[in-house]
Amino acid sequence: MQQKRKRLIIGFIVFAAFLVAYLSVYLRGTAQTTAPNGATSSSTNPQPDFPFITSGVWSDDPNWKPEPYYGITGYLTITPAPGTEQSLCLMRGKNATLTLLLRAVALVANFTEAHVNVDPKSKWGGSLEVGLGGENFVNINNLVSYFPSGNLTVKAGQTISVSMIVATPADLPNLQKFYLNAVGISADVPILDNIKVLIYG
Amino acid sequence: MVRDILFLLLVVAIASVSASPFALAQPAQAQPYVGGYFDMASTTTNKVHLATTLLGTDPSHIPSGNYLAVVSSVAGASGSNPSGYIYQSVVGEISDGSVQFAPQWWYTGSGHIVDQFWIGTYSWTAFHFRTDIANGVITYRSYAYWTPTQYQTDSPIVNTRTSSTSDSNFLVGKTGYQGHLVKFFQYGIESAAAGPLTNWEAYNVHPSYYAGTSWRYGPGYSLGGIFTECTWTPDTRFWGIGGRDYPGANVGTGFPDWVDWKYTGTTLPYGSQLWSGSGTVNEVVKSPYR
Repeated sequence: MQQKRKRLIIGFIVFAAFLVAYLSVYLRGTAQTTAPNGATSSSTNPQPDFPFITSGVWSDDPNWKPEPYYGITGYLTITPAPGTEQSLCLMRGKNATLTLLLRAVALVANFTEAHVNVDPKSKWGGSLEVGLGGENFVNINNLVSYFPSGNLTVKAGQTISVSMIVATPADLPNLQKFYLNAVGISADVPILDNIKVLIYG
Repeated sequence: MVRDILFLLLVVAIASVSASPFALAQPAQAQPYVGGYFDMASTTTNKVHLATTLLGTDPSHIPSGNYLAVVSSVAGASGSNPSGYIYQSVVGEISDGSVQFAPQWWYTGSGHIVDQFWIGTYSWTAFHFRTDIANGVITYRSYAYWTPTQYQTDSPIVNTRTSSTSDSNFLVGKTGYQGHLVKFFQYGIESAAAGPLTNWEAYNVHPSYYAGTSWRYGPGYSLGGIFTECTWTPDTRFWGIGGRDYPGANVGTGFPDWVDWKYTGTTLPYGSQLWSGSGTVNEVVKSPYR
């Protein structure tokens, strides 16, 4: 009789223990959380039931790559050709040429090519303006042309050389020094633009 | 009997731990993020703005592979209906002291970084960035002021990038939807990993939206961790920013529409008031607001 009572007590304790465990998880998962300003957020799952996006900034780590789980299957790098000047003095009435290397990098096997548009006049390729004070700016895109230009296809793993010609008109006003990047180049994949040429004069 | 009870306690402990939500891993993509939003009824706009200075963060405090990013996130919409698209302008300092601009958009977890490029170094005076929407085009602009003189003369170096969109406007403010408090315009700080990143400081200056004739801000409250819902997609999935606490992130002395985010070691509770009231932005430089 005493043994039976003991088993009954143990059974009850087991039941109560699992009930407590279950309720603690359920209540944690469904609790409405109130922030100090009264903002509330609730979830029926024990952890956040919505995914997050991240800023996806590249780092200086040479081994870093965009993560394929962001939906990024490949990207385009733009780098200066070896020996390219890191700074350039604008000579009024003269041209200067920089050589850019466009390379398509695959993150997944089915990424085959990047479609690139090279056109400093296109609204999709980005622009660079240098302030002269107040509402006055010089649009650097107006000084830049490319060869080749237009629509280019860069195969995964391929590198294409593009000449960037900076034409400095004789009447260009004095500019503060600035850094030139690969203006006027757009692509159907993310671009990592490593062009950073100090322009002065 | 005592032995039986001890065994039961062990079973209970194992059951509780194995079922505990806090024993589960965070989503793989989650990154530390702390920020703020305007605690006001949602409204439409076509331009949002944020500025920063990174002078308070010596790059020696940023480990290689990590970054300190100042992030502006805004939800796209048609009228008052969010589309699920999020547009971000990100200005990030990395360990060599360079500052990069990374305009990007996101939809259902897939991202498109339009471009990422160098716009200055942490020692430059100020960076403003603005996101506009008009005629099916998102325009992301950064305004870099290299020196105090450039700031005083309002002579920035302006970089512009674009992407196409089917949205017609942005949303700012907050709304409650299916039990979630959605914050449509967010300003904040994000890193790839919070662990080794301490001793940082970065400002969020004049987060604001264009209200037709002027740039305005609303009451500022903090967010972070899992309280970062920014929009939802037509399938009623919610999408947030970052997703993890930014441990040790707090605020220094603030002003109306300024947040001095800094590492103090004590994490600011979410929903903390950053400033009260709303108003019109008052700024020395005019170019980023023109």
